[in-house]
Amino acid sequence: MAAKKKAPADTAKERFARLREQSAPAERPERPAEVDQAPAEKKGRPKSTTEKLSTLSVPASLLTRLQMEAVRRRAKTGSSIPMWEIVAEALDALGVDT
Amino acid sequence: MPTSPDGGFVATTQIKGGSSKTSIAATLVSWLKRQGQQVVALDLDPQRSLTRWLASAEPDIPLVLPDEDNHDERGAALDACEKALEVAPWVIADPPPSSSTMVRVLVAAADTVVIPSSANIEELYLADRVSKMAIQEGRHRSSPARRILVFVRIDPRTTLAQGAATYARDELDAEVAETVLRHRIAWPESMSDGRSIFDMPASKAAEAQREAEALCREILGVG
Repeated sequence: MAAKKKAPADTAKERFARLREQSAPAERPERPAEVDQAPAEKKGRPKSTTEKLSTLSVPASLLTRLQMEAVRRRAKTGSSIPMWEIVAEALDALGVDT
Repeated sequence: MPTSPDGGFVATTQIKGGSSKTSIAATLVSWLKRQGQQVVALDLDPQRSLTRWLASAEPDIPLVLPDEDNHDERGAALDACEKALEVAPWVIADPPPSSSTMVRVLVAAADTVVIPSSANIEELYLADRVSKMAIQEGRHRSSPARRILVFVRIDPRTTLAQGAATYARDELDAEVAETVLRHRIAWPESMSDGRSIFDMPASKAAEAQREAEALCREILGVG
């Protein structure tokens, strides 16, 4: 069986030249705003999510994972729900008392 | 595709501003010069922080800027990148903090994309988006750019930093640099003083210099 032919390594110079040859990509369709919107509820928030989470006996990597999921969810939906609420909901589902 | 000891095109990229991308670009430029390498700085960020710093800290290092009168962002970026590659085998690019066309052009063709992030979750999320953007924009290449996430301004002893590091290693589609740049006053001081971190007095910056050196070796593979 013939070995799969490996694509030749190219250089940055060649890659930029190829980009130039390609026509400019078409305008992307408007998408819902992602993460740059300030949550309306931010005002007057008593404690940050990090401060609140630091009081819980949950592994740091799990908290980071939940926070990241919360950020993704907000970005995807354009929601302004505070991160703390999303994380607390996930922790509740895991049976962690928040 | 990583850099080789003979040269490479490195872009320090983040969507979030104030992420230390210019500090890292400045450090890479300084380090390469100290290793006797030919390097050019490519400042695509309209803030021109790297340009101002370079004029004071490393005036003999060549600088390439995009043509501000060219309103075709993609064309201006390509012109500047190709011009830089004519000047020196090492190009260190500092693009604007965004996911604009200019940034997309850079990550589509760069050898290495350096993505700084603190332990802040929003910043880590945006770092992940940069990595995904580099993969997406590099889909026509034989392999996408090497993507290396660098933790900056962190205290590795904190729960937040440890959680972020574990998450990044497990979940992000990018290498995570072993070297971290801790929260040290020497970094903003070197930028505001217009001095290379390697020219700061050791009494103030010995630890930052040690980290900077280790990071440059890890990213560039020289020295």
